[in-house]
Amino acid sequence: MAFCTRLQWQRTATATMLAAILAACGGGGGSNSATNTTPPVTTPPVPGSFADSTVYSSAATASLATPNENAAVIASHIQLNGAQFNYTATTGHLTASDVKTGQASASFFYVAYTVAGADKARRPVTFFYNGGPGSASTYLHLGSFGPRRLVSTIPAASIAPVQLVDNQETLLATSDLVFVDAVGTGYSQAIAPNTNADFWGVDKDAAAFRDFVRRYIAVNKREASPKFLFGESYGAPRTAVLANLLETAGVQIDGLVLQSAIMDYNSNCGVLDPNAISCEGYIPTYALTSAYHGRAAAVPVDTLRNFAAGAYRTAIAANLASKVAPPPAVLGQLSDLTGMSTLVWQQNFDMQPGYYQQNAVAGQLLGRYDARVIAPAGSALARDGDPSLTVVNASFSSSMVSYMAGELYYSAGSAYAPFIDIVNRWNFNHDGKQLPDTIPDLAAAMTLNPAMKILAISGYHDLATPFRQTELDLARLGENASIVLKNYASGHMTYLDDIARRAQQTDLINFMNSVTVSH
Amino acid sequence: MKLLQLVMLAATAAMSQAGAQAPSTEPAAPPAVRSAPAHPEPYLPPALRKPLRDYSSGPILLRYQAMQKLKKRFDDADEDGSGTLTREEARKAGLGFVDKNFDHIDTGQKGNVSFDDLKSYLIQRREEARSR
Repeated sequence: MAFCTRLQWQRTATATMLAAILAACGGGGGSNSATNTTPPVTTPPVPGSFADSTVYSSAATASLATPNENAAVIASHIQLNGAQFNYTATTGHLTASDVKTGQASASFFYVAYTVAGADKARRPVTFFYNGGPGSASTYLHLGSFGPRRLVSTIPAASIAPVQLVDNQETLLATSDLVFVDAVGTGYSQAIAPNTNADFWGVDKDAAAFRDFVRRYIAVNKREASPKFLFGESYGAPRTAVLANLLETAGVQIDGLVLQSAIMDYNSNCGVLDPNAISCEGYIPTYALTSAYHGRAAAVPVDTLRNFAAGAYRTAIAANLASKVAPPPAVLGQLSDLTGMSTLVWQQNFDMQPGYYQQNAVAGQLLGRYDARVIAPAGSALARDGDPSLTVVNASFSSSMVSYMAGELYYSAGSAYAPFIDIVNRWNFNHDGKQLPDTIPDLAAAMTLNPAMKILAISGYHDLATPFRQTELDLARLGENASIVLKNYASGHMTYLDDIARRAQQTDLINFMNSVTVSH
Repeated sequence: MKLLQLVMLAATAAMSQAGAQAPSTEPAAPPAVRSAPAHPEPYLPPALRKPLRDYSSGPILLRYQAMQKLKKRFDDADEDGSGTLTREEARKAGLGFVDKNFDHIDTGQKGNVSFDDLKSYLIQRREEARSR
């Protein structure tokens, strides 16, 4: 019953929204003509809907003259564990103002899911964002723990039909959820005299996010709520920098979720020149993935960690430093673990993930984000270099557009920007280093708030941000009971796997409940 | 539903072209808006693929680095160079942490705090968190 109602409303609203958008763009020519016999659209707007006529731009020089803080506020519900679960979806903009000068800096687009109730002001609130840089937050928004979720058939190598369902793994029963887009992505834009490009760097980006979080807390009176940051991929180093900036500004952050993190760009061999550094962090992922594809015998993860940090580390260090030939015993072990020949390993002793992707299974290209997904080399699914991304990506970008119109009842005077190509102009400089190492930012945040907890989440089959590298990066912080690491049989977007997402939901709820609040 | 989505996409695509006509002072093309990432993350431009060698700091150096970050913010906020911050100086500099906890940091009730006062307060908080 509820589903029918939703569908009906969805259709009417989409049509209304279209008419409104076309009119705003001057596309409704002729509608006011006296000879026009077509009756005007008379469907009343859905209560709480909002058609923002502002044209948002992703251009580097774009600069918003008149930001607004309006939003669509929609009462909604899903079926959760067989019962109706009510929530409010708020979609619109908030103005971030610089913590020091008070000047408006950027207009952030966000979608907030909140639950009304007596304890509203004390409910946890979690801020979600993807990374890129240049990515809006659609993967996390429609793929992970929001109330509505796109059906995924990962690790199947096929494009699933586009279908949004009530998300049984939503975290909304535990925490309010805010999905926010970085400046230049989605509908977020710099406010004059700033331009979008001003925020395209590690520090300025994180500072703008800080000021958005401050604004969200102030407007919604969430000072007393436990607060969590949830960033994926580049969103994880953003989280480290942001957590320290927020703590320094006097905003207590209780927990960080680092989803498939790249905390230190200097330590991930996959983003660096070949033979620049050791690929030790990838060795366990190669072995687990070869075992998954039946190319090697399964070996306990701890054995893999020990081999990579032991015999392999010693040998690769000597090889990279002074071209010492790889010991035959190490080559033999690598061959046993991956099913690739000793000759291949001899020639690629510091094997990069791109090579493994193309050569681990003859004639097939393995997914980069989820190496369990494979497609024949040269096939349609392999064409863009990552079959695991190709099988999901199109549905995310298109669904975000229809979801905003049909369920959030929000529209703007321009197109939503799921991705913008800005990584080549991003200022990666941080702390005087060319490439960001954000472990010191985590250390600084934890110095200001020793009660802060960290949950790092990774997939065993992720060839972009390998779980072992995240373990090694976080180990620099020393023994610390506040840091929890969880790995799942999944890829970069661990939550796209139905089994992994269920396990992750349990771990996230436990993590959130473990936080001691001392506001 | 599918048809509506297509119309919707066509409409938004048309609008993004209209938006592109907005005056721009920069001759370079604006960053392309895409439905798929041009360079799936994480990614570094070729010129940046040089890591820093022998930098990797462990717990002790990290604690020092963390303090240095805070020291820099503290010194930036110390506009009159007195070596101490008043509550007003902290507030003006966006050092909300010092502003919010000022009375706990200023144990001597001097009306200003030194970086050593701040460090003592942080150590005290760490001990408190440990004993919880």
